[in-house]
Amino acid sequence: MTAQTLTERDHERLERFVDDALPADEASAVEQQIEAEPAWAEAHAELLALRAILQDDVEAAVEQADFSNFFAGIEARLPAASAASAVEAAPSPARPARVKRGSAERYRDRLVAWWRRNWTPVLLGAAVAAAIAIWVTATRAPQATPAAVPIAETAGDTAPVVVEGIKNGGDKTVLVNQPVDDDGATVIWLLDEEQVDDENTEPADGEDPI
Amino acid sequence: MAEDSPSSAQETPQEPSPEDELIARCQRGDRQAFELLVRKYQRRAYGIAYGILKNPDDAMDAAQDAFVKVFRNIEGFRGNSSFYTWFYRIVVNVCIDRYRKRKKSRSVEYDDTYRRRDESVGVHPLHGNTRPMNPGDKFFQEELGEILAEALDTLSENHRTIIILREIEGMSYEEIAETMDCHLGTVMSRLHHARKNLQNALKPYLESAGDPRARRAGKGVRKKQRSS
Repeated sequence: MTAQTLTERDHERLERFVDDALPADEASAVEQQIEAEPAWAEAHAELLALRAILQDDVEAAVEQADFSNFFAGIEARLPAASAASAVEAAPSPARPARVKRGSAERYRDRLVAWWRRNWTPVLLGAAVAAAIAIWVTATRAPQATPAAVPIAETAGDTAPVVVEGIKNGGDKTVLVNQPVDDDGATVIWLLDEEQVDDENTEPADGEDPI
Repeated sequence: MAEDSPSSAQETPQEPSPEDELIARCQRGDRQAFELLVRKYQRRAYGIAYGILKNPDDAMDAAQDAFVKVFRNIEGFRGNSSFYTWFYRIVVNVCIDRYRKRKKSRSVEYDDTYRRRDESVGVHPLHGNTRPMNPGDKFFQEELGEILAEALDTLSENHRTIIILREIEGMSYEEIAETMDCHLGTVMSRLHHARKNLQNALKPYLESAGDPRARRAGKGVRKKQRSS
């Protein structure tokens, strides 16, 4: 017969017996069961063995711990704890202000000391960074569309030819003159030479080049 | 853990016990009285902390922390509960708090600590000090200590705390309920589950431990002391 034959309820009863939590009459009944039934005896012994293992472990640790500086360790934490609780209990406006001012001064002193040590490389770095920024801005900026400029005046015509915008996608270009006039503007097409050769793109007079 | 009986429950209500007087002095900020109180409870506090945390350094630190909290809050102790349940509640809370933090930042450090101590000093990894052991005992203790620590680690915080309060401190169900601020039925059910889990984990050791250990097992440290 093993301890597993005990029901949950039996186990709970046994535990209460082991914990001295049973009334006297129930306790003596359990005691008799332990003496009479091996399963009860085994379960009882296991509960006591578990207790012994736990106690042995802790007792050995306590025996070997060094308490000679125990109170000193607490005392060392007490002033801080007391000060903290004093601040919590009665916050004084003067005290935190003084603390803040002190820390600001320390911060400023540190900043000044750092500047004295590092002003040369900082300035040099700033100058280099500024130069790089200017160069990048200059090279990357989109080319401004030239202002409208009259480039020719045809005799007898009243309006000058005005370049309002230039769009150029290739290196090699050939000029194809194609006046298109719906609202009085002149369009000058600049096309790649190859395009011109392949497609014979010169439109007839009045024909839409597209 | 030989100390004075901590309970003021046994004292007659008419006369203030020496402990009550000690507490009253502490409440007036008397550091000497506080030192006496610390000396009275330090081993118990450490024992509980060690039982929960299973690490000597952590346990020492937690026990000291608990006393700092006692000092800071003792003014608020009105004697509605007994001092030692109030005190143990602080110890337990400090330990659970520390245990949670440690679990978060876990485990390399925890294992390393044991291994380092064991390898460098050649002592029991859980005890962390210089008790000489013969190799057979040492091996058994080491193995059992590790198994016990692992088994306790599988328990929830409440289960591990309850079993320590019961088995190490010998608290009654009512005292545990007061300390942990829960119902009596909850205490019994948690204790039952904690025991069951530990018994499963330690089965081979419980069987091999046999009668000598069982004979040694009392009814909890404090009960033993009360009766002596």
